[in-house]
Amino acid sequence: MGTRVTRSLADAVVPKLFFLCALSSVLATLAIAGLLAFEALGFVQNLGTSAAGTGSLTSLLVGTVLATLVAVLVALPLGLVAAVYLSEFAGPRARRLLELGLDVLASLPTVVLGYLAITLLGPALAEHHVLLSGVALGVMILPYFASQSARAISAVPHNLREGAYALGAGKLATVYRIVLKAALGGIGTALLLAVARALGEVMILVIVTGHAPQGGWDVWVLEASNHLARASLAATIEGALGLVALALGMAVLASVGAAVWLEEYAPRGRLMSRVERIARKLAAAPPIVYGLLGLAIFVRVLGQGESTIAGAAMLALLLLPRMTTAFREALRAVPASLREACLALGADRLRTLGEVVLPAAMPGILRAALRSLARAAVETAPLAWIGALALSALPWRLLGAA
Amino acid sequence: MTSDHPHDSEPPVKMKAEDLRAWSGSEEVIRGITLRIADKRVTALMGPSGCGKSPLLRCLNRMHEITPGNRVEGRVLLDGVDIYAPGTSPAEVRRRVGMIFKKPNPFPHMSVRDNVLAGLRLNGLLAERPDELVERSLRQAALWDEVADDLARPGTSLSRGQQQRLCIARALALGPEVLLMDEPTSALDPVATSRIEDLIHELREHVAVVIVTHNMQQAARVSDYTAFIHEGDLVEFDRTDRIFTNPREKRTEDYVTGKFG
Repeated sequence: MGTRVTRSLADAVVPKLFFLCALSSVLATLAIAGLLAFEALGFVQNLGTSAAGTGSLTSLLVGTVLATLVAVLVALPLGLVAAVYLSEFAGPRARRLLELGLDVLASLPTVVLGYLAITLLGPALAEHHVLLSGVALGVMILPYFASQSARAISAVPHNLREGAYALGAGKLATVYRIVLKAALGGIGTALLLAVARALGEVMILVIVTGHAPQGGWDVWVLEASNHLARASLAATIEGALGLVALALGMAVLASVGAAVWLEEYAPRGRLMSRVERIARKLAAAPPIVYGLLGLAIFVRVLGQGESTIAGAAMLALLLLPRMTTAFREALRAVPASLREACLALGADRLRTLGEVVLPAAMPGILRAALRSLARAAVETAPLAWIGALALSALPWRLLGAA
Repeated sequence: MTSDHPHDSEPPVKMKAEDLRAWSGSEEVIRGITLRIADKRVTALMGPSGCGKSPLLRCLNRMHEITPGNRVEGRVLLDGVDIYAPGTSPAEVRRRVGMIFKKPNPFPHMSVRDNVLAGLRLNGLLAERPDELVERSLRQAALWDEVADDLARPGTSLSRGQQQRLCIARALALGPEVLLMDEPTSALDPVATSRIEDLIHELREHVAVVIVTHNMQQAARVSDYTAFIHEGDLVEFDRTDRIFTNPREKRTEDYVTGKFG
């Protein structure tokens, strides 16, 4: 019968398509990471051969370590006080407002905060280079550190607090001796992540803008930001909608395919799971990394030949790794009992997928798609505003050209 | 075994709730309960889930009010003094009236020893002879023999039943006069449960024990007095043997014979 033939053909071909999607997602991630490594290597070599020679590398390291120390001195007490207040003392309304504010600040690229801090404090601290760098770095890590610490503190099980209260401990003793100690690991991680994120974002900007490795990174922040106040906001918004829609369409289709293959078809071998874990870790990097490096690839490979489709394809490529991860969560959230019920009725895998699993996962998939798009936009857009992106390779520039 | 028969001599009253009312948010969960807690006896609070027995227990050491939006009215007397009187420190009350929770909650960053001493440390007190206090508390909690060889291991490395006994030792180290237990065996297997029940028998030599349970057999096994709570009301309060063999109220009878709950 004709339908049966079509059916078995579909059974053979469709999973292969899913596999290609998965492959492209992993390859995109690895390519972006590879390019980052390549550029970083070039940067360090450049440092070694620059005029000041190895001295500049040492002074760069020492400067960074000192600045980080100052930053931790600034951000640790402030961030902890904010986090403790937020999770232990604030009323519900104050907490909601504060949480929102911190999250917004924390989701800005840290370079924006650093830029603000340096412009505001620059005149007062111009003489003290290290102090200025440190304070700026402190400001950069503060919101992320505070919001992550608050999360770690809130995650301390409520029954530990009750245990302490039941022993007659006061609120302060409970917070200080039980809650903070129990959250110590999470707070340490928050601090490390915050510093790594801030330093990483500055370095990426410096690398991609091809900056001469002179001075400290505070100089880089400022110069990188000064590079382009010429970005035309109007041109940016022009034509953006069509391009974003196109990109979203491509990214969603490919990500669904990739997620389905990885969740439903992928062999559960050790190599597979290892590759996949690496890809997932890489996908967790801030989108700004993908934005900048993906654009660098794009410009290098395609030259100046920008078109709407090419631009959209690139945007889609950038969205792919994160979206795939998010879609997989949505697919995994579909109860196994639904799948089993469908298979027990005699439906084949593809049927089960199309008729039961995907429809059940659809709300989650849509939510995840919107969220990844919004995050990517929120994290890259402010850079265009302060003109930190001196690259000819800006998505926003592409949008304008489209 | 005369002490096993509370009616031989009426024990003195350790705590007394008078017309106690409590709200969780806007819901009235305790609707005017008056109840006596006998000293050095075990009192069980029994009833179907959601009947208000846990909030009632938590009113007895002022733990109910730590959840924002909760409220308590009425009086709770401890040795004749109202623990809700203005100027009374809740912390002071909680030191005298200890509490054990459904799920064992040893502090994860502390060793077995530090967990036992946690109550003192948290209150800024120093034990005069900490090692003796640790041993005495652990012995009272029937845990000493199992942990004595390594008191420095993390409290969370113990089995669940051991963790619960560690929490009991932690409460005992403060020398409480009353011990409140909120379904202390609900997260434990039968063997660990029976160890805790044995322990409750020993504890009543030193302190007044109030235990919340929805398990009738447990109430019958461990308690001298039983209060049957239903929808925030105290339906019946009597000696445990009478509640189970000859209840006065129809609702109590229906519950203990398994007709509802």
